[in-house]
Amino acid sequence: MFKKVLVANRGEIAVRIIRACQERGIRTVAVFSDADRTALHVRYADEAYHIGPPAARESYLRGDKLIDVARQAGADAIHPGYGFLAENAGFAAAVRDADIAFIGPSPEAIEAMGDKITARERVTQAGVPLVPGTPRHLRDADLAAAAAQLGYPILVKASAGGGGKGMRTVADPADLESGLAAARREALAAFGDDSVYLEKAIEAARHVEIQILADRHGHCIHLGERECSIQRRHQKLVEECPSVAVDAALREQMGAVAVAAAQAVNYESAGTIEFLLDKNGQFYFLEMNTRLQVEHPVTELVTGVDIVKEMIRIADGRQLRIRQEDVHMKGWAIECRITAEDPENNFMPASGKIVALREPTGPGIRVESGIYEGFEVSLFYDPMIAKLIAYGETRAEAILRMRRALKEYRIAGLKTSIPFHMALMDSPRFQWGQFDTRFLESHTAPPLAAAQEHERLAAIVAAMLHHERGLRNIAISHGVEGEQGQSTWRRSALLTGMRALL
Amino acid sequence: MKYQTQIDHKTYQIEIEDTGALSIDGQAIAADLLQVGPLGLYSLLMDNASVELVVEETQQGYRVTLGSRTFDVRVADERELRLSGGRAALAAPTGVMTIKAPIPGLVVRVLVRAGEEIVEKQPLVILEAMKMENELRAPRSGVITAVNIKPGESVEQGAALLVLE
Repeated sequence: MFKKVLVANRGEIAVRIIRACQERGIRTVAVFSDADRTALHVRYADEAYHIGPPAARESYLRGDKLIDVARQAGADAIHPGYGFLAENAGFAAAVRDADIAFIGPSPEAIEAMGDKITARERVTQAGVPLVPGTPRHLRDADLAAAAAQLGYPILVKASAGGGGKGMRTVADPADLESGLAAARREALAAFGDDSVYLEKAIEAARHVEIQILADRHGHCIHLGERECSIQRRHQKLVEECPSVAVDAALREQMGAVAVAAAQAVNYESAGTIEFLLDKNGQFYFLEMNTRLQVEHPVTELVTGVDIVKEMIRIADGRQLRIRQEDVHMKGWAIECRITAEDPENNFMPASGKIVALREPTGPGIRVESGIYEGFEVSLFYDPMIAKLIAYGETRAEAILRMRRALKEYRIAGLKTSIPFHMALMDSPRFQWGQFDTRFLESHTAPPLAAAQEHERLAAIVAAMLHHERGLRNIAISHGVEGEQGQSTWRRSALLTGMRALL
Repeated sequence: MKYQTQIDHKTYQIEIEDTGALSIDGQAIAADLLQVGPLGLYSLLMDNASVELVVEETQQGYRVTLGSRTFDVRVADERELRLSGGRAALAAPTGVMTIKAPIPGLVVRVLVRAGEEIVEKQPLVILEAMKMENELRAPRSGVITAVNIKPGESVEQGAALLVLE
């Protein structure tokens, strides 16, 4: 087994990986930018190395520096986490060339799945269903003919695209010409390439993904699905395992297809196949994430498998410990991504110092966090600062526990997505599982919990403190000072008595 | 002592007597407030309802976080109210106001022009940061007197984007 693992990441995921290593008795090496000297991953690891300025491209994205540190520290493996260099085939290859194990798939698998066109070609050969669509680089006239054949509504997508840029839904043939023109314009501006293609728009689709695990000895299993339809601008906010839309038969079918897709690129390690699932139970391959996912904990809670530890074992060349028939799903888990964003102001990223923090605990609650009291949340990195995961025997219990835990959560100093999650947990449509990927668009953000009473309390407290401050100023000027750290409010009657004498 | 507190556009009249008795908008309540943590964590018992909250002092007043929501509260006492000649001491800010970039980013679109009259909450600028487009909205109504940015420009956090009067 590895003696020492370098964690090429930061925040909650670096902490998560360090924990898995420590549980396996593996020493850990953290890396940090100038912004993260006091971050939790630095403090939890056995060793920590400075790798550069706060900007990611000068620190966490510097593969050369990371490999240098791994050599210097004598690490025999690197775990990339998610984001940063996790899906960078060049980095995976450089790590391999440096004779260090990469805890993830091979560079070839990353590359094959990283390119949308190659990925689609490879998985189709393995019998994986794709959303019906056109080839790229067609002229508008050919696209119009193809659109008529596919049937409206259709989606216009940029060939070089990503992140929703250059994407348009066209419902009416009459709007196709202007839709194509707009998409080409956006694609050219964003990617320097105005080529577009068409896809049939899958209406009322859910985003359902299958977690897979594969070793290098030809074993590949799936750990069931995750429901990730609660998204805002293609960013997942809430995930759950299992999905209300998937029964045992569909799970088996989707699982088999996911395994086939992974095997099509000789996949090794943990990975995720994302699907669109329509209301008739038809599903279509979207893409494969060749890395650990943010939302892996919900699967861990429901299957009992520690995915990060399995990744480490697989990278060490071991065989999978579990066979498909050993995978049993029990209970229900929901994850809320806690981000430093203001849900009442269009999810504007927030920064600042965390002045008070208390994380929820208790039955069925797991917190994956990268923050502490006094931590400065900067705008250099992803706004996700923690993940709150609730587990219950049933979905209803998981929701109730999540509600309870969100209520216990105290983060002060900056705005977070917690109020959004509270409102979502209270939303009847969410509770009934009636949602698709457009839930947040069509319901223009669920109404935030009624805050009338809270507002009144805030007004009272501010007045009380203001009152107290006034009294304290008087007291101090008369040589009466309160004991340190203790509220003077209780003594206010005494002080007001004094004030009356003034 | 009488206090007027304001949150957004709503004002509350709060009176705290020398005995410590407290009322809000004329309604008497029993409130007990104690600091329970070092960083402004307070426990409030209001008519026996138990609430935990975090209070930070800000330039304008107090920032109160409870139930995971944050309220910016401004407070004026009797004297301040008297000095303002009976007019609301806590009226919305007026005068020249610079609208700054709350985050560093790329200006994608500028939705207003100099001289344009705008209303509160109207979208002004689209800033792209961390792959996401963020809409900056007007903090209050007024007239845009200067536009210091163009689409395609990168701005640092705190950069003056627009001037509102």
